[in-house]
Amino acid sequence: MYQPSGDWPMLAIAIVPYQQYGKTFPIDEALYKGTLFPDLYRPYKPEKGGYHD
Amino acid sequence: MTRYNKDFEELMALQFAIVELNLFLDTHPDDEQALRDYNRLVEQFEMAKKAYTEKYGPLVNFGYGKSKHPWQWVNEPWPWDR
Repeated sequence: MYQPSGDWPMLAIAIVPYQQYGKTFPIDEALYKGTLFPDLYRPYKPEKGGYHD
Repeated sequence: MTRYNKDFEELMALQFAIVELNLFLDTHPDDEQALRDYNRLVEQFEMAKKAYTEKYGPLVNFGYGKSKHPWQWVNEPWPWDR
């Protein structure tokens, strides 16, 4: 198993902001978007900003 | 996306929204607005399930709705495929 040594690589620190209740999608839209919350909506579009860019 | 009939799709949308609020409330149990929305949707979901069951037959095999004669559960196609 790989063991980090020295200064690199460094341990990661995860920071997750606390979600606030706000706008919600209409429920029929939410079903196909995969989330009720616009704040969490991250459609995966490989053609833009993805691996091949 | 019309593999399901509109009535069933409405049930799916309600159920999905309720699960989303369920998960939100797990981490935000004091959020009154979210809880209000949750309770409102659960009420709608109960009504929609009842109406759906009366129109198409039972959604689950036992305990949650009556069946007409003959026994409706083993009907094909399944209620959500009709």
